[in-house]
Amino acid sequence: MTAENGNLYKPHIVTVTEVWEETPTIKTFRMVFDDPKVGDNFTFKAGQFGEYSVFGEGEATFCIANSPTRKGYIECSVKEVARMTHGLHLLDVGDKVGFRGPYGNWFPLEEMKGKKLMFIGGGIGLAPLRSLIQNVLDTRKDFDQVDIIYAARCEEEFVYKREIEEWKASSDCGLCLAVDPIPDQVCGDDVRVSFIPPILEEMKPNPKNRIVITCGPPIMIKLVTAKLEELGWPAEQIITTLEMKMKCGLGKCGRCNIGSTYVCKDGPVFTYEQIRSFPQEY
Amino acid sequence: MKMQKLSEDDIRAGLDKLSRETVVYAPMEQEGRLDFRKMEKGGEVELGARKTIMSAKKLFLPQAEELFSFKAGKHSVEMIDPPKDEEPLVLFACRPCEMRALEIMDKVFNWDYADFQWNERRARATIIVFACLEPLTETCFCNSLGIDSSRSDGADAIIYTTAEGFFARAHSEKGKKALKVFVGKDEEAPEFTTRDFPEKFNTDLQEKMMENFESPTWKEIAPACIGCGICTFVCPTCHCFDIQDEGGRRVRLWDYCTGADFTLMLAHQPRPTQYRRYRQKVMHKYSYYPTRFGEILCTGCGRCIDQCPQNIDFREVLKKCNRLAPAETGGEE
Ligand code: SF4
Ligand code: FES
Repeated sequence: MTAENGNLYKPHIVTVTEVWEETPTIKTFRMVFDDPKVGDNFTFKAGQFGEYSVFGEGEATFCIANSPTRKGYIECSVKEVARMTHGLHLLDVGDKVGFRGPYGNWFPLEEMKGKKLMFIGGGIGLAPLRSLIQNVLDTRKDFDQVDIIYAARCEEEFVYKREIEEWKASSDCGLCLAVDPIPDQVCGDDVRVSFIPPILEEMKPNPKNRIVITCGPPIMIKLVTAKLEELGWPAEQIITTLEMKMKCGLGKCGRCNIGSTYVCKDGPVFTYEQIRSFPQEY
Repeated sequence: MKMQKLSEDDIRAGLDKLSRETVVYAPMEQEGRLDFRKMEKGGEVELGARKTIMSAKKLFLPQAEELFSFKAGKHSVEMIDPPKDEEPLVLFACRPCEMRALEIMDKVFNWDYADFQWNERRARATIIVFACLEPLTETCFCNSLGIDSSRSDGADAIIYTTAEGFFARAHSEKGKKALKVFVGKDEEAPEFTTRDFPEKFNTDLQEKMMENFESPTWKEIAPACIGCGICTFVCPTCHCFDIQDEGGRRVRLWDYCTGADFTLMLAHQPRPTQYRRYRQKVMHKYSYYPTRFGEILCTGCGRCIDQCPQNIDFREVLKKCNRLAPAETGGEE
């Protein structure tokens, strides 16, 4: 046995070139590789993730939230919840971050070509979808109809507000925005006050030649998939990306396991058909 | 077969010499605790039938291991590789179950991505195993799982203990080299076989466990488990880890799946109750790992039985798992 590969746990250094606030607790960071050689050779596919680190605060897993068609940088959107994400939120333009990746599998873009796509996102779950949405919109003619349904607790909690405005104005995709039906909910006229399943019930999206790509809080994914199945959707046409606690991203540390599946290697992108065969522990 | 015949004195004299030339880890007692320790000055190596508290895993996957250190300024980061252990290392008198454990873990550390740190330590080590011709202690059950403890083909050398002294045989060049420091003549050795252990366990549990994932019996498998993680720390095959930053260093630390933190996320806990975490531990060893890598992630060393503060006997756990039956009512609460 030879020790041929190098230290897999040593990240590349990237520099924050832009930061913006999405919601009061979520920020998006744009970063560029310090080593131009690494940056030039860096490729990834929509759906993959990375291990990001703030030196001194540790590492955490986030998807790459921009599309591979938008080259020269990577973006991640992060909710401030604990030590590492707190440290990340303190960073500003010019600050250094560690990045390992890309890891994991990706959305089956080739299989999606020529098909109708329906994106269903909830809260910060729009981040991995955004990578694919950007990718699809950048190569729009390869796809049939594109629809986006996006929901959050309230309007303030919408991420990517800038892009949502672009999607609204564009004829490239249909857009349906929704906020939770909670007491005293205030929102714009073009935003529905509803959970997603009733919206699907109304729309009755036809599964013929169409794929749903969904990501959001686990409970939302469960209700959305249940509703779609009720509407006659085959489980293999529903694609989602799973968020499990991860550490190594390399299929070693055992954190991300669901049954014999390594989410960091075999996923994070799965069809609902695959997910249904897992032990119910995600 | 001819083997190198050694007396206890030959072994002690050889070890003495070896430990002056290279780093030797061997079972030694300190404050009543038998563990693999570095032979420096003094200290007597245990050659008899006693089991170390910790497994030899720690020499290949240290409990806390620096992956690199860093100096982070406002607009600069410098990453520094940890000092390299370049000296070869001899692991002396570990048991066949320990060797099996390393071979089993070689798989996870080398599928797809090769784990540099693990492989480097494996490559650096010369492993000399002491065979077990009968259970070393009463909690041993390697043989009950089908492991032949009279051999250890993956080890660099093997030593047999008999009433007339020791017989040593090298399996590799590294082993040959290490055995050279021991004097002693080649003699015809008897044939060594392991006396069968009292119990045999069916370990073909992959499907049974998957089919009965929802069985309420899981709640009765180890209800006393308090999730302390001791079983994992002493286990030769548990390898799950965490990565954290500690004072300018990024370190990899042992972690344990019976603890609640293992999968806890911000607003989501995939394994909210203790029996689910224990089920993960058992199924990782006897279902998921075999499915993925073709080997049971357990060698029957019995350390988890020796050390569990709740007296959970993993042999009983295995027997209960063999009796898993489908849920009558189904579903988990
Ligand atoms: S040592 Fe015993 S109590 Fe502690 S986690 Fe293991 S089985 Fe549970
Ligand atoms: S994140 Fe470590 S094994 Fe998947």
